[in-house]
Amino acid sequence: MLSDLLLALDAILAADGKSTGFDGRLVICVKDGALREIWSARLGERPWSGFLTAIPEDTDALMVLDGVQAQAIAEGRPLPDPSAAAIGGDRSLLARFFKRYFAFSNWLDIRAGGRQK
Amino acid sequence: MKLTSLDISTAHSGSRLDEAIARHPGMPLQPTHAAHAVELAPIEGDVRTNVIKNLGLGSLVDGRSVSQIKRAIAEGVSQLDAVPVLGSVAEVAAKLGLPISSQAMIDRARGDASNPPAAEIEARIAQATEALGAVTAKLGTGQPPAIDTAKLPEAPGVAKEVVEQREIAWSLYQTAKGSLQAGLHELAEAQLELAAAHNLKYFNLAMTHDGFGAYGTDATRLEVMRSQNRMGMVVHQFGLLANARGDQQSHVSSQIKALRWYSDVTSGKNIDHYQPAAFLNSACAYAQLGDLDRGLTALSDMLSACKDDKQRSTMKKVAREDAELLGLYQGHERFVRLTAE
Repeated sequence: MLSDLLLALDAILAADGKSTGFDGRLVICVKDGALREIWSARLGERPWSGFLTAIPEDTDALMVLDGVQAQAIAEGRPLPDPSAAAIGGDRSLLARFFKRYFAFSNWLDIRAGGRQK
Repeated sequence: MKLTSLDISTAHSGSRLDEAIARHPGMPLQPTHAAHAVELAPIEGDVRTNVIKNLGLGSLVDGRSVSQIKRAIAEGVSQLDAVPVLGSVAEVAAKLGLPISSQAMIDRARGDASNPPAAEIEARIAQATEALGAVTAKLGTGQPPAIDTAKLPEAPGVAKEVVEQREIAWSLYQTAKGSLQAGLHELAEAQLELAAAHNLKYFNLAMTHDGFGAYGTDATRLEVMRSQNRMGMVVHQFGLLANARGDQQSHVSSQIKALRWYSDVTSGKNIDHYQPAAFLNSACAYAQLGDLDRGLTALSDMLSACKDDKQRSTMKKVAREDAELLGLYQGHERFVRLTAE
């Protein structure tokens, strides 16, 4: 069963369709034991998103959640056990992605004005 | 006539998928949708993806509006500052046992909505050609027939190389579809990959060709629409291939991608009355997702978009004789009514 969070992210990005104003590829993985759902977004002038079977080698930022955490985010509830989740790579890209599509101003690295790579 | 040969010119009425959707704003999913999905196929991810992707974010998902969902996600991720950065992407993936692929064409929803640079498309064609060569050598099957460029159909106002790519992609698509129907999954996949690559080139050329341009003439705009519609058809076949392999997630993802391509056609100007073909293909993709109601709405829009009764009659006939559609809408009274002579 596809995660509600990943479905929503995929739909929102697809429906937006506009340039993100910054480049990069991010992956969000919802992992429960051996089961995993991998969603990726390629950000840039023509954004793209989709579900994959593996993490592309050129991924700039990876976030791994379990099913309960993903569902909590989708429902706007407090993230259970945040330290059990994981981020790899360019954290600021994730921040810029969420800022771009979910317009809020109180998460992590909005202070990171430009992406470092 | 098969659904996939629906590459015909059709009529303008101003009817658009968006307008059809606007007639049912905020329509929540009814239990009957789920029931259809179960009857048709055990589609995981159900129709929510379809709905929120194709309703301009105006529908309800689990009883919430999309803006509510966006706000919820914003709330949720606001707490992610407590999530630790454990290293590079490769390090985290290795630590958590996640596979990493170096394949350039990893994206399973092939035929995405991007319009990559020409060099990238050429690389994709080269890669797909090589892969198809390897598969045909392994299976001992022949290559798809080559296109005789000296016998390309006339397309006034359209550059020859645009038509050439169109015909190559179409030929590959037809071959791939045959392979899929014959159960030759590996071969079908390789052929579809190459069809997608050539169709992407066709789309790119139609959009950018010097002296014509995407928005220069109706003739070139028609080619853009046609390439978009065909891209959806290729992606649709990727979905059917995934379904045949038991990969429901990819099936759903591909059908959604296909709908995005069709939506590109149906949401713009109805040049040369082309839109009904994309509406019909949308009906098929919706049904594959288990959303028969939206499929039937698409069929209704198909009829509205026809230029005259003659075209409407043709489209009805195509619909009621299409094996895939018939299977999906078997015994559905509204389908029978919409497609009746």
